[in-house]
Amino acid sequence: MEKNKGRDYQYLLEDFSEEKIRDRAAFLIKTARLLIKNLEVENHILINNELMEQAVIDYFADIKRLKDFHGMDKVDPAKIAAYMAHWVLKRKPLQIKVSVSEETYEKMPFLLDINEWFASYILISMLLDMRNRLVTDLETLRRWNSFNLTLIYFLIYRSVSPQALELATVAVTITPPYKLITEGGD
Amino acid sequence: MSKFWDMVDAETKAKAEDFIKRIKSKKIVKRVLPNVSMDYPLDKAFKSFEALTESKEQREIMNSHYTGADGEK
Repeated sequence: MEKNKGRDYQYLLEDFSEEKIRDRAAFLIKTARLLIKNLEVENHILINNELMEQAVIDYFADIKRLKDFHGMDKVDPAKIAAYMAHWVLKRKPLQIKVSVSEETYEKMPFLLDINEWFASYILISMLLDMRNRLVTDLETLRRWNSFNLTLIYFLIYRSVSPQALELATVAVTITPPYKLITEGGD
Repeated sequence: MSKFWDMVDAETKAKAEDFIKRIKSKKIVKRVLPNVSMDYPLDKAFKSFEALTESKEQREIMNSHYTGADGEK
């Protein structure tokens, strides 16, 4: 009997195409490198290629199940962003180098949450075009900041599922058709 | 037939068989997620990611997560 029969991922290449999976792997590697460069953490963070590859495989395997169950040809951007962010978060492909000092952690506390930030950036940028701001009023921007802070807290501390992220991505793209009841609380 | 099926009474058998008939008749259907099938523009997403990592405001949001300086407290 062939070793690993029925356990390989050849079907993903056939279902999605080599090009799509190759591009997605390159996208994650390129975005991770950019994040590391722009946060100026090249000396402290490295990319684990195997974990990055696993995130891509898990993403496509998950999307394949979703497509098969729901009879979808392709999935929409909300699902792409949510499932991609989820698997990045789950696999945690960015690793802290062992030699990081206490002073560096004090200066860059986000190092401890680097995968959560990466997942958050993936979620937002795969959904919204951050080069084109549509709204400049302070109230909307305040809500946007609040969403960002709630999102990162959720990614770090809460039980995250791709379905919950999908709901969040759908919610963030709507303009509420009704007025909020109140800004206050109990 | 399974060993268990032999233990089932006629009324229960009729209900279970009717269930299989309804599946075969396609009367029972899935409730599926809303979705729009489309080709995803990875190039645009990368440029968006680039803009996000270069954004000073986003950096301030990141810092405020650790300092609590988000004006919401």
